Amino acid sequence: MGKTVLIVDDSSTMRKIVTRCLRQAGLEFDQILEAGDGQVALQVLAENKVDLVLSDINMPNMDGLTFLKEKANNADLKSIPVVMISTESGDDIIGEAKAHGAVGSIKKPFTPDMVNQVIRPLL
Amino acid sequence: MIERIDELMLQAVADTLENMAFMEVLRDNGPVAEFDRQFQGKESPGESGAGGDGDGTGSAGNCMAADLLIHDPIQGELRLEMSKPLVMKVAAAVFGIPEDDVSEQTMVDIVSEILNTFAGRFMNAILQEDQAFQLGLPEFDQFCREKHDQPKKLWRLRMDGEPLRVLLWGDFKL
Repeated sequence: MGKTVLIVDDSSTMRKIVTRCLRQAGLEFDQILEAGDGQVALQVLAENKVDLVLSDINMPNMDGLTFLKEKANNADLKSIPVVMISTESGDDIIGEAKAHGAVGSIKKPFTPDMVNQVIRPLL
Repeated sequence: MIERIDELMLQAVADTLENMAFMEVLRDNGPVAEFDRQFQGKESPGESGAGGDGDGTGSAGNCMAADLLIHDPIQGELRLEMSKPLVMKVAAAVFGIPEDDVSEQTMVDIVSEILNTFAGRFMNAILQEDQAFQLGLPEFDQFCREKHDQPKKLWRLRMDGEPLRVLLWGDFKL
């Protein structure tokens, strides 16, 4: 597929699970990059060509919503699609995420079915 | 309502661990004393009279635990306690590595993430569809300390023969 995905989550377990689910769903990526918080994610985006970001919301240092806002303010980064992964639901949080550029959301636990439903159409 | 919360929590934990580690979670129906004994001897060396209990089934450091606050719309707290062997099994399953290669940090992360995930599933299940809620970040309890307040509800579960407990505090309508 020749694409690069960035997984942003403070939990290494979650990053591993997301990676596993992407593979189980049959998605092939040239590179799967990881970041432990929004701050690191912005650095990774500045240094790499990334086609898709999967980001948690609740993270230390810089949370997912702040990451989205910062990304939206960067002309080089704002067009990169972001799918939020979170335990929390509710129109307000997801609505705020979408208002700042998120193109979709997935509730944990992250599964291959969710990948096919939400992420595959984006690629 | 009590039956619903009981069933919904069990479902949330089961869904989380089955998706994460492909392992089945079952309610423990054995004697409570025997189940709880497997978490004994979990005091840190700093606690009075502490040290390993040496009884073979539980020893200092056999338990790993994490706590998470529920902020909104209900104020409460969730706690997950797992036996260390179980955490190692789950970590090995998630990361696809031998149990001997599982690091302490990975185990801490696994316990925290399991709690975080099923807490979200549980809250989604008990609230109205798309009703917002807010959870705190999971906090790992290195010494698996006994909580002073009696929980509103306690679930004793087993996975691959190993024990885990889920404890709930808060203004839940039980």
